[in-house]
Amino acid sequence: MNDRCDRIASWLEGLDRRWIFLVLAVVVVAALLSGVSSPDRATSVVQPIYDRIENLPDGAPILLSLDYSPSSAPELEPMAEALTQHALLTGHPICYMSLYPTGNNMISRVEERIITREFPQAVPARDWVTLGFQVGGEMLINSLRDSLTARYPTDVTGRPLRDVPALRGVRGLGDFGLIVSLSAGQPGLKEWILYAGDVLDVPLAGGCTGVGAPQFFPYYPLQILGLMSALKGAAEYEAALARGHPEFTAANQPATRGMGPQSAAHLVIVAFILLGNAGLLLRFLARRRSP
Amino acid sequence: MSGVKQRVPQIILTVVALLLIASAFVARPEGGSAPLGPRLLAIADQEFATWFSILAVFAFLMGGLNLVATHLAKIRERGPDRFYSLVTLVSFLVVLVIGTAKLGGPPGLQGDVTAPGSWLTAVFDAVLSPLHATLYSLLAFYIASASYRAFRARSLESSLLLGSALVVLLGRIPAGRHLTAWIPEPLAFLRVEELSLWILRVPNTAGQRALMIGIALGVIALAVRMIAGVEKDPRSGGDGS
Repeated sequence: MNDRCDRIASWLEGLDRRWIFLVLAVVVVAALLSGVSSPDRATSVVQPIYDRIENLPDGAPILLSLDYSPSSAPELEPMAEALTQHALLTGHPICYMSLYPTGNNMISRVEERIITREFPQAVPARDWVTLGFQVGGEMLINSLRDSLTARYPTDVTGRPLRDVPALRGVRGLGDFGLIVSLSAGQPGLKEWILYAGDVLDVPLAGGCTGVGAPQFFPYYPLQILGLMSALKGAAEYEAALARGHPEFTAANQPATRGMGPQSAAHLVIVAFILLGNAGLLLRFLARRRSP
Repeated sequence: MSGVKQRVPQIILTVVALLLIASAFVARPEGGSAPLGPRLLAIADQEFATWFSILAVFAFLMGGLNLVATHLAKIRERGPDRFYSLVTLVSFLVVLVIGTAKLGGPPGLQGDVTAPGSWLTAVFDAVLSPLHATLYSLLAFYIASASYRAFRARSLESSLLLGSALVVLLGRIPAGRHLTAWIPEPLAFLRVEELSLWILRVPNTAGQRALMIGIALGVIALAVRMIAGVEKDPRSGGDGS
């Protein structure tokens, strides 16, 4: 009996990681192919972002800073898409910018997937404007506090900002109804908190990757009104949007669909963690029983 | 001469740092009737931000030149990794030419380099984006393998880590929510998604804040030493003390 426990424990301890890779791949691919997903519900950390947009004064613009590159897009892009859908559904102009060099392309993707396909009636410069990427990170934010035109005399198409109806009444960052930074690292949400949210007292919310979430929780709820963390945060926002706007179906949305494979992957990891500890327990029992 | 070389950068550093610190603590004036001091500080703050961005652009240039020099040297030395250096150099130069010439996109200084149809967008969509996605996806496999080996209940501390990991892992998926949905409303705080949120909001926040405050104090101490000129500063070539 002791020998058998010891053998199983040794096998579990020395388990080749390629078996873990294989099981994870098979389960995730199966979940992807089956299309299984489970609609989520917004937690108290995500709901305030939705509520803020719902309760903005008519026509108040929203600044959306897409501070990520393609590597973080699977987690952060669904947030950008859901926020764009929500803003356009509620009639709030969106101003896109980025602190990342790849930001312009990330913005283009959201424009193409959401605005062009789902809101063909949306008019550039009236319903949304793209300022794009500029170098500088926190110093760029600092420059925009008093005047957007200090660093963005025109939008990416070359249109002067004074001719952009979406930004009528907006001089600096403090004139936005809400600023949201979807952040994959530095520069990102932390810089927005330090150089815009805290200084101007402008409502600020954020979205971040799963690994980045723990560093942003200390800022919630006093310095950021809400935080969407990883795909789960995006799925929660989609759920809130689906509940408030019946014309929006969460099940078709990328984050809600992505939660199926993510759930499967998490369950596989939990199963392997339990298996590893079962091996440890077996080893412990074998040692206790041995004379 | 060496004294001047040390003192001038130190004076620039001290003056700029003091101005920036002062501008952070003085409210920006509204309108033109504000006192001269706050107005000057606001202008300095704005100007320094612009200069910072100009310097950051030059940093891109320096980075590019450094990349070319490093990889050219590797190719010249005919080292075992010269092929990778060649790929890096060719990729860098091709993307640089495509982006600078704004091939396929609207021309001119104001032309959007990432406009739909531009070659740079094609490179982004067909090369950069899939490469990033592929590399990042691999993380899931390594995390799974590392979790299997790391999360073992060998001691009280590791058991706490294991318990937190399981709760957060389950709390981040809808399946976890269904797992504890049977818990009655008065005890809802015991549901896995609530426990997961509690771990992130309470113990995590406490630990993170302790770290942040500690780091901030260290940064303040370092800044004071640099402003006072007692920190060894590689830019001035001085020894400090």
